[in-house]
Amino acid sequence: MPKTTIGKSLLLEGELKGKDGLIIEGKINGSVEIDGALSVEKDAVVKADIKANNVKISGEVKGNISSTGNVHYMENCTVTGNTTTSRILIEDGATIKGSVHINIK
Amino acid sequence: MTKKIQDNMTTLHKDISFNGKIVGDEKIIISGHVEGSLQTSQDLIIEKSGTVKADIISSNLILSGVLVGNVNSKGVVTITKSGRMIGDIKSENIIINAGAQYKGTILTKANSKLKSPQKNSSKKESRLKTKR
Repeated sequence: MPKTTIGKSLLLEGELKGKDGLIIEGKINGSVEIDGALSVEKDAVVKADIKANNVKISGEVKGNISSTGNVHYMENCTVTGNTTTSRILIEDGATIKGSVHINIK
Repeated sequence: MTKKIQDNMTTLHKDISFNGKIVGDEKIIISGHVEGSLQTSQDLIIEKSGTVKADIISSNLILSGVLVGNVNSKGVVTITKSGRMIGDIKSENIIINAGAQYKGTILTKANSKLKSPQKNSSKKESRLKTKR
């Protein structure tokens, strides 16, 4: 199934909401709320609070991340903000500044 | 970032809604809902399921969905048979297909040389001000 993609040259300022999967390659300032999988790609810059199902971060995020599924911080990602999730995976080389809450159901 | 603009493309799918400002240098395809303003140096395509309430600046524009807002295009504006639009269009080339619904003012290049609607509106405003 094709996913919504925010391309490299794009700058979004505002509120993004949806049900579908989302891939961010560009920049977003504001808030992101997705009932699906979210992937922040390598050169992406997201300055927003994120609410999503499964989250995979390879780029830069400034904001709180709240996930109802898994959070996957890839190598070389930069996250500044608090993380709330039920499962988390942090790879070697990830930069994280903020607290992590893992809620065991 | 290098300028491999052609390969890049942004798609906003059916279940996505966005409220705010979009600025970019690549092709944008919208099937979801966008409110605010939209600006790209490349083409913009609004699909059948797409609903946009925004002022648009783009190259070519193909509208098959719903658009409420003004368009400033450097290319061709096409409203397909399923397209519905309310708002002004400023473009050199405009195609409105049979079946399309449109309400607004069209300004092609030839028109804009003859008179500028911005001046008219400012006159109206000044008149109103003097009445008060």
